[in-house]
Amino acid sequence: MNAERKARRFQVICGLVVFFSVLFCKINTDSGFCSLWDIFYMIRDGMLRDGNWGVRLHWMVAFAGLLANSLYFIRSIWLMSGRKIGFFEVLPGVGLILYVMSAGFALQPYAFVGIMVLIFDYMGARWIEEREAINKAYEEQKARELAEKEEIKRVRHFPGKYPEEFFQMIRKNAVYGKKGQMILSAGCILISAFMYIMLTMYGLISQVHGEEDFALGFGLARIFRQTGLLMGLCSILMMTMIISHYIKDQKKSNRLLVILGMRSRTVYLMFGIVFAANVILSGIAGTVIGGAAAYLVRDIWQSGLTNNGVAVELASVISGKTIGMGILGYLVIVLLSLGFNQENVLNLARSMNMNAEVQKEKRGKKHALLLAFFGTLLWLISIRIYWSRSWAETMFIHILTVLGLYLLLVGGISMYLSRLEHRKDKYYRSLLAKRPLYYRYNKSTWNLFYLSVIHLFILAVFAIQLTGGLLHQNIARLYPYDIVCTAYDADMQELGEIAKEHDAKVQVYPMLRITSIYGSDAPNIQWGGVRPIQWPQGQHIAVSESTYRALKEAQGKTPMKLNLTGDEIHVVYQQDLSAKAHTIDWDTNRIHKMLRIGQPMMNYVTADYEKVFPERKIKSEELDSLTGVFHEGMEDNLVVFNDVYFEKEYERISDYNRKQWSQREAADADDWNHYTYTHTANMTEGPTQLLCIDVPEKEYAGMLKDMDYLVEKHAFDSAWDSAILPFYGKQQMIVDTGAEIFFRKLVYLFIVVLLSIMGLFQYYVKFESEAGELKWQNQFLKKLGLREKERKAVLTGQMKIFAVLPLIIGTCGGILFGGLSVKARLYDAAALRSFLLTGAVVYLIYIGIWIIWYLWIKKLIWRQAEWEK
Amino acid sequence: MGEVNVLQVEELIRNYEKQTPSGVKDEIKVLKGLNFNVEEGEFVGIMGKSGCGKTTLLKVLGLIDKQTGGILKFMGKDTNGLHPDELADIRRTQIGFIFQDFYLMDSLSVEENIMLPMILNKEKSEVMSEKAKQLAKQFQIDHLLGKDPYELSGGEKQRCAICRALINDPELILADEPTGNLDSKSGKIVIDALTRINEEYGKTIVMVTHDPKMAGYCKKIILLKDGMILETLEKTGTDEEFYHLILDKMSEL
Repeated sequence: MNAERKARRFQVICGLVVFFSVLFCKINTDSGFCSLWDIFYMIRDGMLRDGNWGVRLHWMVAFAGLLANSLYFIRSIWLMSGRKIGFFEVLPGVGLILYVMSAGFALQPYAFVGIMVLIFDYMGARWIEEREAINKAYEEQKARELAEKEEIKRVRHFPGKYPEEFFQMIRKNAVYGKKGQMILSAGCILISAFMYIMLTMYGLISQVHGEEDFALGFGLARIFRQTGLLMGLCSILMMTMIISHYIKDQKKSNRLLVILGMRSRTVYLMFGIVFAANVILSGIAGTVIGGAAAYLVRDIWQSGLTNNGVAVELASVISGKTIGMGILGYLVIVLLSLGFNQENVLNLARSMNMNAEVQKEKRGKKHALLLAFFGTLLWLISIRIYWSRSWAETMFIHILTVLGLYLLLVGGISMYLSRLEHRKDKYYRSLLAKRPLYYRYNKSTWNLFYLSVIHLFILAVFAIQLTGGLLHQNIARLYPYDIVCTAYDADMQELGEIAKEHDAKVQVYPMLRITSIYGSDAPNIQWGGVRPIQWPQGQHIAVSESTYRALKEAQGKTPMKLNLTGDEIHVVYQQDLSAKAHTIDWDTNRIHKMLRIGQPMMNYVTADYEKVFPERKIKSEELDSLTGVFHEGMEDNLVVFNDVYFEKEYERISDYNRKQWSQREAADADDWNHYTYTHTANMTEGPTQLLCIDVPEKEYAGMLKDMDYLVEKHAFDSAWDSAILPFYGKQQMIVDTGAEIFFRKLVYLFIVVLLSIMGLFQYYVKFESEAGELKWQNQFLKKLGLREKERKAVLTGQMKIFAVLPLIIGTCGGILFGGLSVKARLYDAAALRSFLLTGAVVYLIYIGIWIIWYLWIKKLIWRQAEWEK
Repeated sequence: MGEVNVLQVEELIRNYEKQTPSGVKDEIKVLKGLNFNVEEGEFVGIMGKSGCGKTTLLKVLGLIDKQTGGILKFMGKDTNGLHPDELADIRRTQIGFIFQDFYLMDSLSVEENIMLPMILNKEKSEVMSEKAKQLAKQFQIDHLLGKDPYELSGGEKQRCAICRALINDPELILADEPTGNLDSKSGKIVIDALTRINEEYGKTIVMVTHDPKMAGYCKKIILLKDGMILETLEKTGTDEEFYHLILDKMSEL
């Protein structure tokens, strides 16, 4: 039976169902829900005879549904008599409208079922009619897809085995193109070695520094993680360029094979096997080399730590975990770089354009000025942020610098070339020397960008840190007192007795705990939503101006004239010269500093953060150690208030602590931690007595031992941050700080060396990979009659751009950001002089290495260019 | 000559997109609707001034480049819509290429260069080697089989390329200015070789040349001007007469 007839039969049945369903319908009347029979009897008995049109309208609407039912019945009779559906095509729509109109007056379940039946009638008929067509279309589609698959299978089918000559050809090609293979290999070895070394060093640093650095967010572990990210990005960029060149090389040698009819799968397989073999073997070699280098570095670090009195046995650098992670990291970098070259890989089997390699790269001229403008703008913004000291020396600001650099290079070089092109005399004079920029604009720009980034980070970031580490400083003078203790009023009596017992001299100063809203230099940018409670919160020591002066004079130093009014503050960053600049509050969502007098708040209403952590105006800042360098400027800095303001707050907090003391003594850890969930302040708000203690040497150990009870007693105060202790002993701090400075020096030196190697290597790879082209150029110019001196000048000009321009960018950036770092670090005149001198030496050594490298590579390339085969 | 059309070209168009210095995209029409056939066993020359589209046409005929419009049939089969692997199969088994710059692989020996199409076709070593030696002997380069391409003279390189083009016994040979980089003596050797391939082996050859003397060896010349066929010349008399006819016609170009 055909589909149409089936559909009609279906509609007949549905129509009859709809019609007879009215027997079950109950319509809403003034007398309640009534069936049709009830209504019939009501009409017969004259109960509905009145002049109320509202009621009649009510009835009319209710009966709209009955009309629809009747129409369905008529349709069924119509179809049963064998007629075509005709006008009844529109019945589903009409019926639905009529039903919906009357739905309010029928019993709801009936109305619902009725509408569903209408829909079922409509959809069912359509489905039956079109089912065959749909199925047929589906079958046809399936058949088409199958046919396509079969066709692809047929086309792809290439039976037989390649003869031995085929593999011989691959081997010969690989050997012939060994320079390209070696460059790829060298790049892979470098990356895998670096990966291994970085992972090992990170492990060693973490071993020495432990968990507290994670909580506080400062320290070498964090620096290493940030640097690791930078080096990862540089590695990806470098490998992308190397692989791009490698693929282009392969494309050139594969082109003839593609023209002669080599199949695409064979091309990709050939490339894949050779590439994978190179990558795997180089990865293994690099890991071995990295292991050897890491072993050496570990030995140096171990001896340094031992000499500085740090009793730490560094772990072995060879471990399965490090090897596994190193290889994994290396493969991720290689695969990512290969991914960025996806288009090049696909073109291996497609490219039959014999002129592809010699075609000039397109240079965008349209938006050059705009790009240069935005690049400059980004640099100005990053300089401004650095200048404001809000973020101090945070490396993440340089994201803007790097982005700006890229835009400046792309736009600036394009503008420069366009200008040259308009001045024909200058253009022709510099045509040969500037040839790489005209001919290989994109490649040249990327190389310049990469080298500039390397120089920038070395000279503007890491050399600055290294220079700071190289500054000579007397570590013992960073700790003017044998013991520094922060205590509560309730502790004073006992501490007094201990001091007396050990013949200690104690200076007591009033202090308050002051806490910043955010105490870590890890970026914490909020993009929207509810402001979270930021963690960790930074804890510092608030003192009065008088205390500040007393502390200065106790060391024979001249205090600054502060003239603080209201709640203005003066900050004394207690850190050594090698530590980078810090700020008192690291919340990066605003410039203003927010500090509360009291200890960190586990919980508070973040919408009212300004009430909990009021804004403080920093009037002045300085770098000095008045009590001791306990957290390298991250915490326990001194925040100085004027005497009046300090006195007021001191009274308030002391009073509060006194009132709360018994509750604190009875509380357990849970009570302490959850107190701020039900209160707007802590149970107590920190110690109020700063004790600067000097003790005879023979009593030092005993005094420390006797004071040890404070750690247990005030365990609550260390709940937010285990690095904040009730007292610090000088001798251990001297050892720790000495080791820290030494470690820092080594780490930064290590980073500078690694980045330098990457930069030097990239410079070498760039010209070594172009040696063939440079040789052709040289021979060509020789045939045209250019003398040796001029030809050498051409080569020098072409190589100099890539040595000099990035170095200038890096040096200028270094001087600029170095200057801002020095400004941020608040060095005094003596420290500044020392820093500038040391920095100059570091810069000169670095630039000197680059000059030597450039001259050596130039010699190498010249020798190749002059050699006629 | 057979009646089978090796190549059938209908309204062949090839355009290129180029960006002007002001950044506007411009379409350059290189081939503007060509119509011609190449029968089996014909020796056809394509001539024209520099830039008229000769090499572009040859690349399209050799399935190295794809036409923008029109129909190209190879051995009666429409090449439009063929899978790239099918095109590769045709190039590998049915077309032989001879380039102006020889285009030999410097990493392989002369023998390996000759065998290359068969290597790619997964032929047995003995078969390839035998065929390569046969062809090398025919073109008098059998004493050079063990040498590298850079050791050969231009004429020797081109004969090596001819051997490579023939080794798979293709239906069609495409030669792009095969004597362009050679002196007249070497060029004569090469053109004689091509003529022999055509006459003795019955191979269909399409040769691009700008040299009327070389063109005189062809049986038919297609004159291209500005991407269109100006005229088709058929050789009716002697080589000398045909040569003079070509010279006359070239002045119209």
